[in-house]
Amino acid sequence: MSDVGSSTPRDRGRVLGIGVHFVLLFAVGAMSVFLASRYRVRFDLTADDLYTLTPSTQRVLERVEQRLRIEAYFSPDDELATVNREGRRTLRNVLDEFVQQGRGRVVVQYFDPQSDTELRKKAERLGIKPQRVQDLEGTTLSNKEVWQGLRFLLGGDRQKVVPMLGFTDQPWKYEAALTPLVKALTVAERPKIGVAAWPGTPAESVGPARQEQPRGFGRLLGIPELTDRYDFVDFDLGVGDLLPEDIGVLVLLRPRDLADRAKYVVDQFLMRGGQLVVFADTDDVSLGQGRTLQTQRVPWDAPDSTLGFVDQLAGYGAVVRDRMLVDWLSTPVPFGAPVSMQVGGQVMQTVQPLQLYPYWFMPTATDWAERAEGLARRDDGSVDESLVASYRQRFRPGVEPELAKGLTPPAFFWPCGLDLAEVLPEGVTGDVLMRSSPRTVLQTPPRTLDPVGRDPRRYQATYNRFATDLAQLIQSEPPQQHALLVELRGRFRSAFAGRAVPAAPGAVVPPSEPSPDPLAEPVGTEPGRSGDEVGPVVPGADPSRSDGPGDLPLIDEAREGARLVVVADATFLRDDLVGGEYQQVGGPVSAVGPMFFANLLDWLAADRDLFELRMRGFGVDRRLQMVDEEDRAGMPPERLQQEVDRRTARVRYWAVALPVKLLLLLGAGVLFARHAQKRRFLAAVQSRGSANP
Amino acid sequence: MRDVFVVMRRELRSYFLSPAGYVVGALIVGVSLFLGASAIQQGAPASMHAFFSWLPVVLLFFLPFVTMRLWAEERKLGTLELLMTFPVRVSQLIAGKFLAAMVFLASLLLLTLVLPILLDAYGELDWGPVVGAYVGALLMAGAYVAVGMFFSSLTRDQIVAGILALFVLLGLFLLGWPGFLLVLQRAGFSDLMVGVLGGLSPYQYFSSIARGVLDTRDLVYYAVFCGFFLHANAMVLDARRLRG
Repeated sequence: MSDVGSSTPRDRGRVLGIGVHFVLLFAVGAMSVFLASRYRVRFDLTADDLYTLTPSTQRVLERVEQRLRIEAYFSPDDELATVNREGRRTLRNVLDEFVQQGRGRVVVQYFDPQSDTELRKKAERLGIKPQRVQDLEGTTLSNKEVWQGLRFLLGGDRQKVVPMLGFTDQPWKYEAALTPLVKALTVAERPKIGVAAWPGTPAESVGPARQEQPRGFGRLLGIPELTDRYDFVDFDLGVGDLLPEDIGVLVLLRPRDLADRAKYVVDQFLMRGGQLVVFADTDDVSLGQGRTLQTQRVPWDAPDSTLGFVDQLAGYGAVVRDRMLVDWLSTPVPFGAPVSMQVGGQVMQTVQPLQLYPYWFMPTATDWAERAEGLARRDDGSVDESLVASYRQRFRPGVEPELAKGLTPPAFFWPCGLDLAEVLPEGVTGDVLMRSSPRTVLQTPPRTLDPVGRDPRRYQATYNRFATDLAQLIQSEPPQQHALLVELRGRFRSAFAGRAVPAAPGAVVPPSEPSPDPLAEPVGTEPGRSGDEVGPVVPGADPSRSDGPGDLPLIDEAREGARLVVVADATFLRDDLVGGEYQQVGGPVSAVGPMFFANLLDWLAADRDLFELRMRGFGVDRRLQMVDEEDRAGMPPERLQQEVDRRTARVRYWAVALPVKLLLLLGAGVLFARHAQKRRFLAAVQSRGSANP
Repeated sequence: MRDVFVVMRRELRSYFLSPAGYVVGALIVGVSLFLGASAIQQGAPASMHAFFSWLPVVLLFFLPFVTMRLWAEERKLGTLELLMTFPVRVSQLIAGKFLAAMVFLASLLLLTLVLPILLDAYGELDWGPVVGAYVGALLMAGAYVAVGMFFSSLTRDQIVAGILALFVLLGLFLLGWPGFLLVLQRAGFSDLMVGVLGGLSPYQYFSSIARGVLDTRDLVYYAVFCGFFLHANAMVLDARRLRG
């Protein structure tokens, strides 16, 4: 460096010239980078396009016609816990993408509510609240107030507020939270979803337990993410009126006590080209704080009904079995038994985890055809080849990869049996989107499904007996998969074709000719009464109502767009499971249930924007499996852990050793070759020297 | 162009025919893979994130010792003057040496492909970000080499050149490290200043590419960064040539 020094005026001038040259060069370089960042082109190389706004968000932002102002109430980045700083950077990037995509109509303004009392008050007025967190920096533990709230203001009058947006490093998660808000602001009218829900019976109280409320579905239907985008219309099928034309989707949550008129309303909704979703439960299992797990049949039909709802669905192509499905191989949902423990003289409640409760399970993406060999293995270890061939042909994945894409499978709790009809009605096509494993049994449930009993000292023994009995029962059945979610489309035939239209409750029913079909008895008939006695049976009936038989037209073949979706369970959407009320005592919690419901609605309502958005992050499972599932089956946990450790160590070793050894071997080879070359050269020189002394 | 390849071939021989090249290469490959492979665990995501988090640090400490000899050794052995008399331009000399260093580093990075191949065998590796991160690693290595070459041209002492390059690269690395930027913020630097300083660091652009996003901004940055230091290198050599 000392060589550069010079002291003559000419040299000083040259140094100055060089300095100016570099400053200019630096300025040009900086300008180039600045321009490249302003007008940049990005290529997202991730398989799931994780760092690109989805076409959904792009479409939503393209539809923004007015000025959308996003006010970000963020505490400064340096106030954040270290773990959240990357999340904040990701959020800023996502908001930046929103601005770029918004073609000048979207602006983001950042405010720091901690710097200004007025700003803080304004944020609080809007409903934006800070979160108190503890941050450990070095050895100092401090309490911090973190703000990360947002206000979306469209055209100055419509607004949505996010009180506190959780931190994540995954940009698509921010996108999934923010895009629906923008969409809710920009869409003038929300799609209407008709909902008919029947609450379950309250759990039997045990001892001094408080009286339980009937378990309904209100919590699910009150989730802001859903109510923001859909208008749920609570529809009472018992009234007997047809659904308004503007309702495109009708959801039946745990239908029960359906009168023929209600079934007619449902039928005609489907015939009109509607989309009908049935969350079916044939048995209701009480849970409650007492964990009695007592079963009770769900009567689908009203006592005076002449057409079974099961038959009606079967006529459309969906066969609901009147029994409970038990699955031994799908991903189990852990069951925990509450136990009391003495700790330091104090009694503490804790949960004793039990391994398997096959009434709660989650369908997996496993292609069960690939497991045919294991399923056809006899007790002596031999394999029945003819069975293997048959299973390979019959068995399908638990979750159909293409059909159910984006419909994240929920955990099913005491589902019922479900299948597609062996022969579908003419003009109807159907698919099974989710199904059980082949190790199943359809069971008429015993009165109680409690696997552990009530005596904590005998929990394990009772459980062992329960599991053994169930395993034996399942082993005695030939392997068979059952549907958990089916979808049917096409020209359904009305279940009421050729029948009289059932009268609405309280309607004046004119006398009619008795039907030759005993099933087609006019509704309104009370048990014990003959068809001739049909008439104004309800005291105080309104004679002005004109929706009696014959007054309403019957559509006997479904119009275009008709779709029926049947799900083999409704319990996973129940308030107590969605809310996780029993989680503290080891009870089940339906974490994915609401998400599945939202996905299903977006799928049915053809809300491509949001459905695509939610599909993000549920792509391929990229976790490392050091021991594959085939080898893992039947391996005791200790051996499995040893095998995992052994293989992990081996992979780590080879990942490092192989290239290093290769490099060093190559180096040694080159070194030896050069030495040999040198020796040959010296030998040649020597021999020449001795030849010419 | 032919002259560039002649110089590059000459340089490559010095990398691949000397034991030092293999020893440094084995250290770079071994240390980065050792740190990267520590993330291999049952149930962990099949990702090269750990490897590419450590790679900038490993290259930061080892690359100056690869580049320090590029000009300093020529000067020490007196071969620089000889080189200057050849009918090649200084820019061709620089391009040849730069490309040779890049080929050497690319071959080292090629060896580290063992890790993603193993990860893919035990999990579903997303190859897109891996390819992006390798491209990013090469670009960042190019930036480090450009800095190293520049400091090597300033002095005839290899160790001095190596230490100078190490300190400058360390400084640039720190400027891209969020923790250090936070310290600057707390020390009273304005947001704009902190942003500008952060924007100078090759590390910041590498972390953007390494997550699997190729951005023209990052590519332009590396082109400008390498161009700046290689141009400075050429000016130093030109000045030396003029002075005889």
